[in-house]
Amino acid sequence: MNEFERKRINNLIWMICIVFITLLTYISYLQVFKSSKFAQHPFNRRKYMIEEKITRGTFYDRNGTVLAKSEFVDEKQERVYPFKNLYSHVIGYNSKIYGNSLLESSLNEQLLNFKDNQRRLATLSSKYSYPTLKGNDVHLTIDNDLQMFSNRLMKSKKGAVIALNPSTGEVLAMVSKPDFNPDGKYLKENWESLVEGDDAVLVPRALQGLYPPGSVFKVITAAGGVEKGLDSKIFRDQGKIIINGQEIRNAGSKAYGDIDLAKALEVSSNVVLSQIGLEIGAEYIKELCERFMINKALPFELNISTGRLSYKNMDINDIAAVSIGQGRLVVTPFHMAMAASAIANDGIMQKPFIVSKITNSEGESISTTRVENLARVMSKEVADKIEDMMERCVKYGTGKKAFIPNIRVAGKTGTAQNEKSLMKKGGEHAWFIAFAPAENPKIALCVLLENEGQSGGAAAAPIAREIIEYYLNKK
Amino acid sequence: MNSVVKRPLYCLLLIIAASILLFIQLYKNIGINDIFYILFASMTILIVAGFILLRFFEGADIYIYLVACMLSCIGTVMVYRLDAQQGIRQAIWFALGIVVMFAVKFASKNYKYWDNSWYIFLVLIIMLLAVTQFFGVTIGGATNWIVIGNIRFQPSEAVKFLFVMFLACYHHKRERLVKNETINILVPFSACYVSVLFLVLQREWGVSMLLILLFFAVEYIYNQKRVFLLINSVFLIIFSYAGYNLMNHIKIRVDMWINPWADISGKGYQITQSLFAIYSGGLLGSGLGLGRPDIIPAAQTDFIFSAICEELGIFAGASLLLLYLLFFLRGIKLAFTLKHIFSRCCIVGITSLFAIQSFIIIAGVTKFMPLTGITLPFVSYGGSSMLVSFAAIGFIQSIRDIDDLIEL
Repeated sequence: MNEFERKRINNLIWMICIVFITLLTYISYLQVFKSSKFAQHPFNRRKYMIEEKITRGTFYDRNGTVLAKSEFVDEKQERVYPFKNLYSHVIGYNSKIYGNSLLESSLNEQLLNFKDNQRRLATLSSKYSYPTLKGNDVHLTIDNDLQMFSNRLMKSKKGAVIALNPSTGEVLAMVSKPDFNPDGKYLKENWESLVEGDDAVLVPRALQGLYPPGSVFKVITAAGGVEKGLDSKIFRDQGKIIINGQEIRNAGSKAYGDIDLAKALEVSSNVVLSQIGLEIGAEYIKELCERFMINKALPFELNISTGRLSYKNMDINDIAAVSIGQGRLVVTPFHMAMAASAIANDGIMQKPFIVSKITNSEGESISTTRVENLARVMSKEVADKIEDMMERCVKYGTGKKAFIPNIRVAGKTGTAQNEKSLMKKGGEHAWFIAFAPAENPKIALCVLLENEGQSGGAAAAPIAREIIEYYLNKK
Repeated sequence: MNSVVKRPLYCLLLIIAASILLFIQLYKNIGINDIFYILFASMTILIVAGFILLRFFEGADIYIYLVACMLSCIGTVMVYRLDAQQGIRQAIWFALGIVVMFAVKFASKNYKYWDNSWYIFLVLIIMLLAVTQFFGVTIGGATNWIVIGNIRFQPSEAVKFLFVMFLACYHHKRERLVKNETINILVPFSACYVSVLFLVLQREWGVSMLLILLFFAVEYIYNQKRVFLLINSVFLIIFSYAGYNLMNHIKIRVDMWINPWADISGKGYQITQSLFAIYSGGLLGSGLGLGRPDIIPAAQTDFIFSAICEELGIFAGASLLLLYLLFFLRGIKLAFTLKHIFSRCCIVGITSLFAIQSFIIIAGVTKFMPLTGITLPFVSYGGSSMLVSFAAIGFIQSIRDIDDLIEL
């Protein structure tokens, strides 16, 4: 063998070795760093096949009513939702083809008791058919009666209702409309129309619908006003005002004369609240928003879209618009329910939760959610003042339709202009936030009717009234 | 016994132990067909018999035989796990393979004209390719099968090795036969690329790439003209570029290599399922029979490696990769002990073939490079591949004797 050949063969040997070792390193790298991503990938059917052997856990409401469970039909596991559409936007769906959504998805590991059962499966032989392993059960804070009642009131409207316990943060009811039947068969037949339809049926509006809040945002502006000592100031309201060339009008251009902040909130005066906004200034408004969890992530067992105040710099007209809940400001109905809840709870926003506890197949409790403070949104004094103003709104002002004779209800109406309403292609959003009874609030809620075309006071407030009445009398 | 004798014996015992362990796992998790007991026993007996027989012959490389047996055992068990019928057939191919190995070993010693037969090889290659082109049957997307009665085989398997032998003959004789520089370059070149053309027409991308890379490797060592490598590289680049842009097939494969996640349920299905399988098993695998390799497309052939990684673990996959490297290193070491260019070139070519082929397929299923439709030697299900590969090993076992027979 000559030198050339010898050298070349040696080179070839090196090249092959390097190439093989590189491949080996690549595989090892993926194994060490990326294997869980592959193993848990939603398109990796292995996970689902293990799931088939485990009886998925049951969802209960706070009183033990079954909201979702698994049954065996012809030896195959099927997910049954006794209340059909009612929890499509809370519990979601569980489908081999389309995956899981909402709580079925976020609690998947628990519902299957995956860690323990995976180990048990590995030690059993696939040769034998063994009694199925069981997952854990989930107990929600939801009150099924309240959920059904609220849902009935929404009829065929689009929008959302959220009811919370302000002192604990428990979600008592969460309705998003339009809804759908989460049953597997129904999903299969209707998936395309669900996904591609105009109504965005699959979007849980309570959590992920982003809307301009309109006048319900004024409680936040007012809080800022009180903090800056503007609640003793008198403002002139002549029905409309020109700010930097642009006109801001009250509903119906109604003039209220010389009024203070409390009266302005009661009658929902755009003229006064925009002036208050200008006085407290852009930076303060931004800071207020963040306190109320806008432009911040709101922690919850489900994904809540981030409320947004989208401005780098706000000029005078922007400030005026935002103060009355318009402009480039969007929030979810959940955010406004949390705002009401914070005001009701002496200025402390409790961390919202919908899962009260998780129990195993024997009924033993595995984990319980603790009540936690999320943030101090305002001082007790300010909260008391705002609460007072909101009571007056219901007693004397725009929220009269929420008035209940022997219950002190605090509330605020909102009628929000939006893209569709500005183009005359749809109606304004009708909002109402409230809590009751004011002296010791047991329920805080937000009602949002999308593109309703009526005012919050006319359309949303009555729904809130019925819900409050039902809930407080039920207790 | 001295250490030279002991070491291969240990390897043999290791193989038998590993096979028995796998067999027990199979039994525990899936249960075993009666026939397979018999086959497994025969397999073991044959392996041992082969081992003993080979030890009697000087010049035989026992380790190459052992590596091939280890690979075949793992492959047979895995194929059986995936499909009992195919597993039984694979075991029979394995047994036949060992017989074929000895047959080739004895027969090739008696053929005195190896180094003079380049035209024979060329004719055979062209014949096989042409027959496949015109009479070939399309199975599984590739028109590369010849069916005679009940028997199906893939000529492309044989073409690979015949090509190596052709190149070996050519380089051996080159000095004396051909003085013209142009022909020097043209003959092997056209042999290679004409074959590639046939293969491309038959949609055998993997074998085409294999052939070109093999050509590169052999010419790199045996052709002293740098210009040659340059021309080859240019050709390769043109081919690849043209291939990517003109053949939709290839474009899809490359796109799915770069980002299969863009179309997980469609074009990227095979590679994503392969990746899921490989990394779902963990280091030691989910257990033979306990994973779900049955949802990997083409699990018994192209993706057998993924199935092995899933159930036997990444360690098993890595071991497989290293076994092929070991095969290559043992083989190429032989080359340094041979006297004539023909034998050396044969060895270099054959071992490079195995190395490059196993690399291409393992790299393909792990998304290290685009997928090609070739199989893993000894492990994938396939009679043609098994028999031809063992025949190649038989040839390797007799290369020393052939080397001695060649006169200058």
